[in-house]
Amino acid sequence: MINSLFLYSIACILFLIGLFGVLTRKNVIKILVSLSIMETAVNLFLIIVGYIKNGKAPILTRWDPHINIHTLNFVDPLPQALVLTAIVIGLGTTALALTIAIKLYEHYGTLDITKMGDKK
Amino acid sequence: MKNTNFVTGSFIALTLVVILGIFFFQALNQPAHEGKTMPVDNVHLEDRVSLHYVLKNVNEASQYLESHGKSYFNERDEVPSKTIEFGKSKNLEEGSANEVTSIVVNYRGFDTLGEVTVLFISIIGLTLLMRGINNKKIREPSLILKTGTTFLSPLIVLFGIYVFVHGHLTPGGGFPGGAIIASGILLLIIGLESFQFNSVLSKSIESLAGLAFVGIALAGLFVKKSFLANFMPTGTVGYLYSAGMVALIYIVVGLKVGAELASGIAKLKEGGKND
Amino acid sequence: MYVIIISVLGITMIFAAFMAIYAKKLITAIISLGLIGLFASIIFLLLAAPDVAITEAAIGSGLSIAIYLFALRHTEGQEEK
Repeated sequence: MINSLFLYSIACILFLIGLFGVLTRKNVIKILVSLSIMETAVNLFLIIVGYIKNGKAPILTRWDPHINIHTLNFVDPLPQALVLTAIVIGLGTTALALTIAIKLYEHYGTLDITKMGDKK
Repeated sequence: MKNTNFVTGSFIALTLVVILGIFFFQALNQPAHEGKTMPVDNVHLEDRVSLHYVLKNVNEASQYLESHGKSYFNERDEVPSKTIEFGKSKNLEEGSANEVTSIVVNYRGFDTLGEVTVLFISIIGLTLLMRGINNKKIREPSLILKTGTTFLSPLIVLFGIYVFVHGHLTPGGGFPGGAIIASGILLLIIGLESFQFNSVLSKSIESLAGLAFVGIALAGLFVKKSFLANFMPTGTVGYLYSAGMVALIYIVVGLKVGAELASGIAKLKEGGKND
Repeated sequence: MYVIIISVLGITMIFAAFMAIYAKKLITAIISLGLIGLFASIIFLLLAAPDVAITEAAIGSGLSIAIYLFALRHTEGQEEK
């Protein structure tokens, strides 16, 4: 089955790439793209924390109708509940950040953060 | 001069990222001590706090702890629990078939209220900041896009409504349903030039839905003496009329999230001249 | 089988992340971000999280790309040097 270490590695590498982008890019929209990559990586990490080997989706259905303490075969639903809301909040905050980027462009005439502040 | 600064900065950033990566992978490769390592493989739901959410016996478990004067469980088998059957179990403390929904709306409902508030505030900030920014014309949509939009967007909005109405039975719920409705409206915004986004309507839907959320929560406070308590009968697991206020709250959340995201997208596209 | 699918998706996501950071044109970076969101939603589905997969498919590869493109249109397609 799926090796968790490999999955954790994907999430960690994506997070590190996003961090590197945030630290080194000059364009504001590039920085926001890197932040979005970091956000996806963190969501992936939380879902992997909740994954349990050979687990099923935590939904009772007609084809799998019984659940008790001896026949537990669900993955952990708590991180899923967290990530479900975090994705939507992430969209809202990304939209706000992009609006601030548009305002910065209106004010300075450029998106390059090293050139902001030269001109009034 | 500026260029050398940038190269040095990149080098420092790379060093930082590499050091952080070494820490990450060292933490992942540690041998398993109790509670000291990351959960790599060999994880069971019995070890997790979600066990009682899945078995829907949180009240019984806390009563058990109180009556025995303990603060934690030694063995999970001590907890009184019963089998939950789809379509048969009645009047559980929480009646939704989708465990994620029962956590989002019922057990951790207060978090959801806070998160909806965060989304509301971020969209308010977007609307405020977009004032004074002009609309920029985009290329006129082609005939195929226009025809496809008129045919598809009502279906997408209908699917979003289905997703949030059935949030306690099937995957989905208020947040994905709202996002799907917003993507249907996004298709209308970019596909039909004659479409005018009605911001007054979206604002009223949003405010009424927010008020309804708080109203349902306060009704729980008055009936069951606890904020956001489930004051309605939970019914049979797996039926549409089950789970009490979970379905109601998810409908409210779906309308609110859909209206908010759609108005944010329309503001980003059209600019805020008309406010 | 799952191992192969998740390996391919994960490695493609890492390459797409590099592309998003090093691309010269902003629109390439934004499309790469959409690819990351889409593949992340497939991985969520394979990890038995269908609720999250629906949300990520609607938002990560749909709405978020749309808002990035609208913002790019307001900033007249500034290119990175």
